[in-house]
Amino acid sequence: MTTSWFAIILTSIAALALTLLPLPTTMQVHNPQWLLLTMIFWSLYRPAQAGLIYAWIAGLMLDVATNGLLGLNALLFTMTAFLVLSLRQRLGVAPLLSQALLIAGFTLVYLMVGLWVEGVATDLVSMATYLSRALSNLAAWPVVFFLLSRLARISER
Amino acid sequence: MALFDSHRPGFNLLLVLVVISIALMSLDRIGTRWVSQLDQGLGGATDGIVKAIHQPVVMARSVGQWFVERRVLQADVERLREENILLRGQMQQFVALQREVDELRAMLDGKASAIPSVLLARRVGHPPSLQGNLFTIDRGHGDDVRPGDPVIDAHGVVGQILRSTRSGATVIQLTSRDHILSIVLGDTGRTALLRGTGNRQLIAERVPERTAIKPGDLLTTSGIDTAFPRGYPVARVIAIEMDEAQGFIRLIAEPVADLERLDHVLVITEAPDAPAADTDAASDETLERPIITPPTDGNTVDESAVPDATGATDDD
Repeated sequence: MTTSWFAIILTSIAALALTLLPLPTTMQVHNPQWLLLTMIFWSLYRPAQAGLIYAWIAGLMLDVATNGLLGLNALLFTMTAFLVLSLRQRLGVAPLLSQALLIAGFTLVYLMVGLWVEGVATDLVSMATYLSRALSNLAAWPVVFFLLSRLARISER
Repeated sequence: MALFDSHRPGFNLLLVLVVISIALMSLDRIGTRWVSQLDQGLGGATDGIVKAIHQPVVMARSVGQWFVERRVLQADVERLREENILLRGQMQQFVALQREVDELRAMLDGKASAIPSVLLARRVGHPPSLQGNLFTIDRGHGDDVRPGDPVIDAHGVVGQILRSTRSGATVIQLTSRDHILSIVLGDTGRTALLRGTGNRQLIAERVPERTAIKPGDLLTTSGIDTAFPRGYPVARVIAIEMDEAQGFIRLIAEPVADLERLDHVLVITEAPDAPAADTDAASDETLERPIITPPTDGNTVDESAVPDATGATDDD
């Protein structure tokens, strides 16, 4: 079961266009996140093709289209796709109503994390320094591992 | 069947993507050049989508134009012609005044003002945002529209270019909560920062209590922020809130630009005093200080406001 890439890309662009449809401000809030739903559908039913990277690219396009913080929706889309893909075998056979309920649940998580990141975003400049700490942890781990495993082996005797 | 294949994604890929996203967010916040290039590149595609969605509206309008009566059109042409003559007549006076002002300024500090070059642009779309404070125009990189360029309409300041792509540009309105600009308060010569609130109102906070300002006064751009050239009308004061304990007042203002009915806007692509401000600041200081004010310890940013302030107190 493979769908052509053409269909996946075309539906994604259509969903993006639906998202960008100008609506009155009061309606705008209630406009469903079409691109997110499309992304969830493809990662549920065509996981071999539409994986995390597809979700990331879709999120990035949404960021660019809505002039938002670049990478915010990319992050959230990737995390949602990860959730969906890990729960896929349960979600795929669930009845439509419970699927919809679970997707509403995902959306709640999505919105909460989004809200949190927006709040942190004012300090994202300092976030870069935090990020560099993660990288230095990455570099330091082999050293710590080597030293401590040696120590553990020595103290065993 | 595909359902029984576990397509459980790898943690490594997730972590790599998460790290890339966070890095992208922080680099975007800092304003790195290649991130904005990425934004501009991809934005060309999405702006195309926005434009395509807006196309039915444009077509409906142009179809509607076919059915306008000839009489109405002729009346319109007549009215516009009269208005044009009127404006040209007034303009002659302005040109003469401009020359006079330039001469006086040249005598004062050796810097003449220039009329900025403006570019007429049409609104082509309306990307979604929670506050609805963005719109796209049909001029972009090719027409020298750069992020940060001021946007005005026939009445006053509309906003600034947020992002410009190959095919168009996105404008952020001055009523947005993310927008702030420096203004001169009426005739007082004092400057303040005017901030958008997300709805129609604008707020200037921390204005000294003794400022002689009243509802109805016009707020104009000060030029200090180097984003907007000096002297464009921005907003009209509608209310003043007292803050007795602090000794400051807070001004509530409404933009003079017709933000509800924006069809055409003007982009100031080459603000004459904005880029030159940095280089001129040093020479201004040395020229102005001995003449106008005794040595003050005001910083360079306040320097341009000082002559106006003293002039205003003389009038009072």
